Amino acid sequence: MKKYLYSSAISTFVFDEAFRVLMEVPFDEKQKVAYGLALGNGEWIPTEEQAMKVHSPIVVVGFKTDKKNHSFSTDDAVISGISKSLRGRLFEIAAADILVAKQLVKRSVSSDDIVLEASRGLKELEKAINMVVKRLRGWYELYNPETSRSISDNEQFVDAILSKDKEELLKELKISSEESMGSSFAPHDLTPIMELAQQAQSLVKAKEAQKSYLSHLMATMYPNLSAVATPLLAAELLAQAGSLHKMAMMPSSTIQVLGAEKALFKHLKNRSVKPPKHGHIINHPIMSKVPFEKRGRAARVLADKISIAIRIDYFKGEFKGEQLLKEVEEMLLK
Amino acid sequence: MKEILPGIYLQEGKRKRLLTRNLIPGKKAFQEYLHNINGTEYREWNPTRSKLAAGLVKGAKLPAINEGSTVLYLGAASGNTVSYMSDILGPEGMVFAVEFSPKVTRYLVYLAESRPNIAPVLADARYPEKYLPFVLQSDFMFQDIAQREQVEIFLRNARLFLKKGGYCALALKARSIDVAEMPKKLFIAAKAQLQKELIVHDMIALEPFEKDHALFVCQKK
Repeated sequence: MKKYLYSSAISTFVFDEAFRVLMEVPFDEKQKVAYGLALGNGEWIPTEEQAMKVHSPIVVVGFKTDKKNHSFSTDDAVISGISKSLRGRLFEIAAADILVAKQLVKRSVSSDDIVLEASRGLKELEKAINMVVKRLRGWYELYNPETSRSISDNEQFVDAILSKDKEELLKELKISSEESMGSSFAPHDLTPIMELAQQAQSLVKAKEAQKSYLSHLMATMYPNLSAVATPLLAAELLAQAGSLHKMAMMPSSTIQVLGAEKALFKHLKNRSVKPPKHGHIINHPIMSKVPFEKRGRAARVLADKISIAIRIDYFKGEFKGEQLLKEVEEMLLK
Repeated sequence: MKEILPGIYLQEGKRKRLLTRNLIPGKKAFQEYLHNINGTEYREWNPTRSKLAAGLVKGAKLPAINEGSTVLYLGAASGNTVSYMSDILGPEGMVFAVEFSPKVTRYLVYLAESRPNIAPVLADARYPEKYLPFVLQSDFMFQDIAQREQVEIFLRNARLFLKKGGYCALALKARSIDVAEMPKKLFIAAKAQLQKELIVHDMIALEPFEKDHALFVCQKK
C-alpha cells in the first residue's frame, strides 16, 4: 500500500492511497513559524522524520533540496487528493500562512534596503530644499531682491539672510537702502519669512547628516564600489539597480546606462533614435574632466571598472578599488 | 444593476460600475468608493487598477469564481484585486495570495488580518513546489506578474495547483516579455504555448484600461 508524506503549514501528515489521514503530527505555535520557514527553504523538519520512522516506505509530496534517496511525487492526482482531504483545515492553514509570511517579511530586510532608502531619502531631501528655497526667495525678494540675486547658491543664501539683516547685506553689495528695489517690511511681516528660512536651514542640516551617513555606510559596506564610483554615486547606482545581487549580475553595458532607462527604451522601440551613452555615471567627477566628444568612451570604461568593483564586493574579495580607479584615470586622463 | 457573474455586479448608467458586495460592511480595504444600494453595501471595483476587473468589463466569462471556491492568486501585490476576490468568495472561500516582494506583502498581511479568507504567501511564483506546504489545489487561478517567462510560470502553477477542469486566467504583459516586439505577435505566441496544455477559451485585449496587456481565459484539461 502506498503512503504519502506531506507537510502543510500546520502539521505533518501521512496519507494512505485514498488520501485518508493515517497520522498527523501537529505543530505548536513556535513550530509553525520555524517549520514553515524550513519547509519554504526545502529542508527536512523533525516531525517528518518522526512520521517516517513509523511509516516506511513512503512517497514524499513536497520540495526538498536534499532528496535523501526517498521517492517524490508532485502528481496532479496526489496533490488533488491531499487538497480535498485538507479542505476542512483551510482556515487553520491560512492562519499559519500569515504567521510565516510575517516572519519572512521581517527576515527580508537586508543592509541593501537601508542603503536604498537612505539614497532615495537624500534625493527627496534635495528636492524638498529646492522647493522650499524657491518659495523663500520669491517671498524674500519683495523685501531685498538684490541679495537674493547676488547669492545664487541656495544654502549660502539661507545662511546669509539668517545671520545678517538687510542693512548689512546691502552694505556688502554697496547699495544704499534708498536705491534698493525692496520695500520696507514691518517686523511682523518679516517673521514668517525668517521662520521659513530656519526650516530650510534645518532641512539642509538634515541633508548633510544623511549624506555623511550614507557615504560612511557605502564605504564600509561596499568599499570597492565606493572607491571607484564615489560613495554617493555608488548609492545612486545601487538604488537604481534595486539590490546588490541584481547589480552584481548586471553586464557593464547595463550599468553604463542605469538611470537613462527612458532614453534606452525609446531607442529599443525605435532604432532610429540613438541609444544613451550614460546614465547616473555622468555624475562621476572624472566625467567632467573628459572632453565632451569622449564621454561615451569614458562612460564605457568607467562602467566596466564599476562592474568589476561591484562583483568584488558581492563575492567579498580583496580591496582593489583604488587600483581600479587608477586604471580608469590612466585610460581617460592621459 | 445586474449580476454578471456570481457575486459580481455591473451597474449600467452614465458610467459603468463594477461592484462586489462588501465582506466587511463599513470597512474600506483601500481607497475605493462604497455604494449603498437597497440597504446592502457594495465596493466599487476600478478596472484601471485591476486587470481582472478590466477583463470583466470587457466581457470575460469566468464561471469558476463562486461563493466558497478556493482561488490561487499569483502576483497579489498589495492585495487590491485580492480584496475583491475575497468579497466574491465569501466567508467560506479562500484566496491564496502569492507575492514575492516583501514590501507590498506587508499590506497583504494587513488585509489578511482583517479578512479571514485570505492567506498571504511570500514566495517566488517561479518555483511552485516551494510553496506546496502553504497552498491547496484551487478551483480558480489568476496570474498577474511582470516576468519575462510569465506564460511558463503560469503553466507550471496550473500543473500543480489547479483542479482538473478548473478555470484560470492570465493577465499577460507583453512589454515584460519583449519591450521591442509587437504585442499582438507576443499574444499569438503565448496563446499557442498555452494551448499545448490548456484549453484557451478567450483572449481579451485590455485596452483602454491597460496598454499592451491581454487576459487569457483558460481551462485545465
